[in-house]
Amino acid sequence: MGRKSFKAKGEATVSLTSMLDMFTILLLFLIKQTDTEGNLLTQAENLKLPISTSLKSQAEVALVVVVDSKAILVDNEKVAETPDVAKQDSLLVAGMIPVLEKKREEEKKAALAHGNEPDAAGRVVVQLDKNSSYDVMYKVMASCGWAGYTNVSFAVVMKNAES
Amino acid sequence: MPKKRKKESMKDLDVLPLLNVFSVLIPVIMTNTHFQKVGIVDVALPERSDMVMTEEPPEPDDQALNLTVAITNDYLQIVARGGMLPMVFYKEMWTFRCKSDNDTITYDPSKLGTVKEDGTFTNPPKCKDGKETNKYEIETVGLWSVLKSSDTDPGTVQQSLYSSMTDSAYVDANNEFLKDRSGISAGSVVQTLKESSARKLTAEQAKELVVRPRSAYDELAKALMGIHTRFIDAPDADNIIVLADDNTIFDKVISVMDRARDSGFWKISLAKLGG
Repeated sequence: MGRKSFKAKGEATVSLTSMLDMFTILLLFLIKQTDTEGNLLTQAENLKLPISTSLKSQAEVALVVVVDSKAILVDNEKVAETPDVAKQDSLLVAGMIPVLEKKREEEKKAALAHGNEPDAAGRVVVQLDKNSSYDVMYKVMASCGWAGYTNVSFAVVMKNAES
Repeated sequence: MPKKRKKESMKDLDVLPLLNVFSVLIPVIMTNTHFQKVGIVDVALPERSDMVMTEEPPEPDDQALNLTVAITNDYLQIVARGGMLPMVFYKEMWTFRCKSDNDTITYDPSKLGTVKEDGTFTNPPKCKDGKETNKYEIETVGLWSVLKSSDTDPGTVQQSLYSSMTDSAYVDANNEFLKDRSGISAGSVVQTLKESSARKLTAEQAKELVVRPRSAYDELAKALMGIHTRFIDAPDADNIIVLADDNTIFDKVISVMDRARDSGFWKISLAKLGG
């Protein structure tokens, strides 16, 4: 029995309709997720923020303090080791104070230059890992308050905005 | 003279330019897309503490409610002017997300031993594939409400009716927790611990009902809502202080703050238990 021979009949075309459908769905999904207001706060690496029902977004630029399992960073500058802070008895984190005070002075000068009130309370956003201890959180918060940053906020993942 | 129409062969729409536009648009939009939105939770520093350098401490107000929620390792307790509410005992359960198989495992933390400096446990939880997890891989911390008759009683975990799609516990018209499905079916009116949440269950919602351990946070929310309604005229009716001990994990504090805010106490201060 001989094999059947297939002869090419005309030109083969690729149907792009299904791909177009897929792209349309993808585009609509991405447009829905897009934040047109921008984002002043970005989650630090190696950090699991707690999930919260809070619907408040950060509206103003603020100093960011990051506390992960290894270190404490003020404006991306490492100021202390987290395990050392957990062990210390003092309420204030010695490494944080001079950096925070310097930042606060700079903010006051900038406020004066722009004709704003220089003594208005400083604003700080603390990004803490959800498994951090209350002790470390309290010491970081106390140090911020001591340096003049009395408007303290914690960064969280918004529960209702999760995809 | 009638016009003669010429038959033309049907041509496919040329979708290639549209596809090109989409190929450019999708990466551009993708760069501006956030799949997890980061928000903030405001917290007020205590007025009388080392944290704020105030000149004069404020005068104590006899009419103030002075509402405080204490978080300990075993219970949550609400304390206010003139007394304290019964303790809400709980059993803490940690759910870990295994990186290897993306599955979850739930453990009683008291059986994990002590936590080392690097976050590992002396008796570490193991995933189904045998890999060990650590403190920093906890996905959720659940507090199961426990009913105790005395201090020595180990207690029994209380159950409540929940929706499998959301985290909300259902309550009846008297704001009492629904313990099981008895008497609940499609068409029954139920509500959650949020204002104006009464609704008639559809057949689909009735199918989604599950009975699971009641969250101690729900017990707390129920009590706080009652206090806020009752003492709405107090000068500090919107204020609450959250007290916790040193070892309390931050996730627990945020969950308590959420329940306090959702119950109407939006000005939240933090303080240390025994400190």
